[in-house]
Amino acid sequence: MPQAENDSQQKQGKNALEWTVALAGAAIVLFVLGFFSYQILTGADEPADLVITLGTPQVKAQVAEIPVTVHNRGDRVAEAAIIEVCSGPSACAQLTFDYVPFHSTQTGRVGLPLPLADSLRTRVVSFRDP
Amino acid sequence: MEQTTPTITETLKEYGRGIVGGLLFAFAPLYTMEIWWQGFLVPMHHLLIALVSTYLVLIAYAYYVGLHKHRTMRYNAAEALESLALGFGIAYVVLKLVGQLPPEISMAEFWARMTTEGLASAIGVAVGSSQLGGQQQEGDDAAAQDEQPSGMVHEIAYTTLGALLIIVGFVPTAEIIVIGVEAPPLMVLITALLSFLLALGMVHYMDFRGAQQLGEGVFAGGSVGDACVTYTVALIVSAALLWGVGRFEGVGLQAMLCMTVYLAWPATLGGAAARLLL
Repeated sequence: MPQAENDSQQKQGKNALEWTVALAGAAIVLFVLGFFSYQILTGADEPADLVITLGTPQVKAQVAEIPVTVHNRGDRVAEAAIIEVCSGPSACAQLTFDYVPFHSTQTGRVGLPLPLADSLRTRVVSFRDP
Repeated sequence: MEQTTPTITETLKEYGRGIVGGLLFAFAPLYTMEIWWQGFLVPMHHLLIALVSTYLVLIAYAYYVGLHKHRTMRYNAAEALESLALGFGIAYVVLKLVGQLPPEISMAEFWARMTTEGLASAIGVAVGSSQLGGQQQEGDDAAAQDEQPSGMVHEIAYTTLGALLIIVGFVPTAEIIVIGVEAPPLMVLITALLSFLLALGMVHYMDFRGAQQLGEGVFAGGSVGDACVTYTVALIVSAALLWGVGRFEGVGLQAMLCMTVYLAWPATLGGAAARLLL
């Protein structure tokens, strides 16, 4: 093998900085391999399960702006998730998230006309399984 | 046995070139939302395969394209790890700056995003650190090129590396699906023929730099056989990457073929160019 012959004549070495960065690379590779392997071996495969939480409304120009937090408790991604927040039967607002990844949280805001109903209703209108 | 070790300054310059190369190569994927999302859309075992495959590709790249000709396999393996470390570093900094690593994402999503973008950046780092060198490295490079290994396996390896370099940045984009499923069959056929002619012309008829060294090629069938192999490798690499990013799931055979043919077009360009220039 030509390379082996060359190695016998002259070897290219690495300095401390290069070995340090290489070790960092090895740590990253091992961690990612270990982490994803662990997730594959121990993780369940439950469908997306979206939990909606509303924040404190803020009034802006006769509109109540309501923070919306959506958390996916499932093990799969919810794609094109549409969330609806209603104040009474006729005042509803919808919010669309391109993706809500597994065990992750997405946030947004909806605007509803004042006055707000005593209790706001929320629901997941739809999402796709990617 | 003599051993040469670069100084810290030389290493920092090489890392600088690597980071610039990584950014040049990876800015497109780093700014593409399909690739941010790809990490959590594909099954996790695809990410594992991608990580291992990229590491092997980087070792191969260090072996074939490295500026220093006297290298051991351990050296090439360490070089590939350095590229990965810098690639993940670039991915972290850029994704953080563009707001795509928000604190509310889960650890799995964080590492999924980091892995897809970090691997693309690592390839750019490897290319940048070796191909963007100064005058001294150019001299070394010319000397090393005289001793470049040749033969069937090596030509296929160069083609694979070149194809990967060109297409890895946009495989997960939705445009490939749209192009693949909307293209009329006649256009797909013409694209395939055009890709083949591109492989034939680039290596044998357009007088690119490095074409003389290849001569009539190492494959049976002369220039036509050579172009067949280049195009076949481009098709295989394209199909493998499309499978890797989940583009073949729930898709019919015709759509799979169409996507592969359209992705193999730039892959052929990259593969043929790599054989001439690397």
